[in-house]
Amino acid sequence: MNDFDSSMEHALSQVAREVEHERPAALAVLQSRARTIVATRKRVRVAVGCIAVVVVMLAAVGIRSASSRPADFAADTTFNALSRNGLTVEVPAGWFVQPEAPKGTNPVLVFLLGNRDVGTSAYCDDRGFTDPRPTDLMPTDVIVQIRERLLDNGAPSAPPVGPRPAELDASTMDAAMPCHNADATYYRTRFTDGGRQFDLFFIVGNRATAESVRLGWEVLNRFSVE
Amino acid sequence: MSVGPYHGFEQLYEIEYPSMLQLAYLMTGDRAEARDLTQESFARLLAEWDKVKDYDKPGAWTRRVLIRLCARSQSRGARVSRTEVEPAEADRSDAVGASHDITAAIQGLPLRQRTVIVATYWMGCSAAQTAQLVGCKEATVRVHLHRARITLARQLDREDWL
Repeated sequence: MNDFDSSMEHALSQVAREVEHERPAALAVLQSRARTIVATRKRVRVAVGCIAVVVVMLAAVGIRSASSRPADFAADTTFNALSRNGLTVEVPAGWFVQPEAPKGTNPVLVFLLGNRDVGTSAYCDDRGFTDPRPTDLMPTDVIVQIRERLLDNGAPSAPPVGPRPAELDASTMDAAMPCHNADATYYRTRFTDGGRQFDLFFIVGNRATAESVRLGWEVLNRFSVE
Repeated sequence: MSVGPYHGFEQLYEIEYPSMLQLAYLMTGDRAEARDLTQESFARLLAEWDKVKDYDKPGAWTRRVLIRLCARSQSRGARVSRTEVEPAEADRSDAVGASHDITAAIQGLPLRQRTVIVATYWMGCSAAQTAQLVGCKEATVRVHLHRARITLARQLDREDWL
């Protein structure tokens, strides 16, 4: 043993002796404190258990809404039929249908509906022309517009258009110019159905939910001519 | 149930309390805090007694708890002072004074180094036992010991310890 070792042992032993005769606290004091410790641990365990259950439930809800819910939601959604000018649309529950647009324009806006009340900004512009691009568009908006081009009121002849596609989707509609604020994708198509010519516009905000987009496509495909 | 040299908690408490208090005192340098921490460690032992009584060395379990409490106490800055290690008597002998100088220097060490010094030179633990007590590798214990030795030699002006 070297000097360092012996110095350490000696010093520590000497100082430790200063408290060697202290008596321990009464056992009752320890028992009281032990009971408190046990009770606290029990409360902590219960709290941790509750938090774990809440976390698991939130995770389950999150997973469900992130994966299975969109499909279920689309399948379960209630649609309400609405007719104007011999056209019928099926409006998903919770969607907004704007009041009928003023007459006298060509094409005439028959239906303007979306997942939010977008007002009447798309009815017509200052010059009386209809504008399919709402100026107050928000990135979460999904908007469907159905316009009929009137062919027998002296309006210039529209270029010939084909029949209605079997299914309207991103591949059968043209992705056209961005909207005013460029925060959306803008689809359009023109077709003839029942001897009438229609312009359909589908505006999808860049942050629109998958459910809203899916419902928008449903609206377009369920649209019917009487 | 008979457990090692103890027949129950009361006997363990009676036998181990003095050395546990000394350990806490050497670790904290504060008599009142050493007392509180020692009692707290025994209270935790009592709270876990149904489980710990079957361990080979319930005393060792309690010492580990005590060292953790000392560490936590230091990290909270709860220690009032390290200077209480100064002897109560003004006319202390040189030998006692030297011991207090050394102990005060030990208590100026970082917690891990201090724990290693106390475990090695007061508790008589091997490097392996100290590693188990502190919760690190044996090699780490040797590193702490070496660093502590250098620091103490410099602080106490003992070049012969280097």
